[in-house]
Amino acid sequence: MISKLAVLGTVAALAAGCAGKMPQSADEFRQMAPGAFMVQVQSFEVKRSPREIGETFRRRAPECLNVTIRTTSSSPGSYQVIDTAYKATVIAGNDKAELHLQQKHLKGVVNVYDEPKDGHYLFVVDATPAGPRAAKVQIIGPSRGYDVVVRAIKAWADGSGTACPDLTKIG
Amino acid sequence: MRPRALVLLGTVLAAACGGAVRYADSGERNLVIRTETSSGSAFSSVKAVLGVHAVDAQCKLAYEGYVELDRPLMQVGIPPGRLSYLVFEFASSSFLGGTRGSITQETLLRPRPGATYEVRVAYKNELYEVAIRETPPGGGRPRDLELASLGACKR
Repeated sequence: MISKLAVLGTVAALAAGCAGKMPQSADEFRQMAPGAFMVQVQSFEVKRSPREIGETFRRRAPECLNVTIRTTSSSPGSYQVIDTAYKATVIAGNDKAELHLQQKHLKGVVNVYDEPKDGHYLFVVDATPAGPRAAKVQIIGPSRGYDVVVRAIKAWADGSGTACPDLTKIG
Repeated sequence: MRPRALVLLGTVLAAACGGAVRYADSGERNLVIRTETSSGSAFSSVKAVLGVHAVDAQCKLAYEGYVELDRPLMQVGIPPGRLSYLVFEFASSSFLGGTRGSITQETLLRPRPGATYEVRVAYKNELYEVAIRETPPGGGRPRDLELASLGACKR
């Protein structure tokens, strides 16, 4: 439980960055997150167009990521309940596809900084053209604890899978 | 999001408080459910459960029971011609940390009389998927169905 809370706290802090202000938009997240502690920027190319990637994001992201999760942890003398809501936003066009994932703790975690209405930005994913029927995909997100989300997004982007990440496993 | 949480909470409460009822098949077993679950760790487990709700004309839910998807192949009867709300829950627990979590995938389904529905329920490497394929009456060409949220009931 302690490690989970520590990670949750760290993620909130990294989203806030060193400026003591939490990114209020995907653009601010793109600017503030790279270089921040425990934030990772991954880039790779896939043989699909941004439009195709956007269609997959549109089909899978709401179903897989717009969820509210309850996790409970118990140990002798303690019992912790954390309710967390996730909100995915997809912006898809011919030349670019974006996927934003926000995380809002409803119960069990106290926020340090003022966060956007739907929660702090956890991931911002951009797919841009990289030749005919190819795209460069950039994933900005936490460097650890969220591997299952990254695996799912990579599979959606390269077309190798459509499974949803179990968001109870993150953090 | 809220309705999903409430449905899940209702399912969990119903199961936890002893009020849980096993789903009683109605009519022909038109759902063929293939389940594959693996937690990927010797120190944790994951199980899949299907909750069945009837949906009335006002899109209100009436819980009808649950089916533990504890065998690789199971058949379940969902009333044809009537709207049902199917909640597939993946519940995981860790033996070491005392941590539990569950995540659900839901869909509205109005089975067509005489049609069969192959449902693939999978949980592997912390990724899960529910996919439904409809085979029309008389064995026509199967088609994949999009999962429909409860919100689609009102549209």
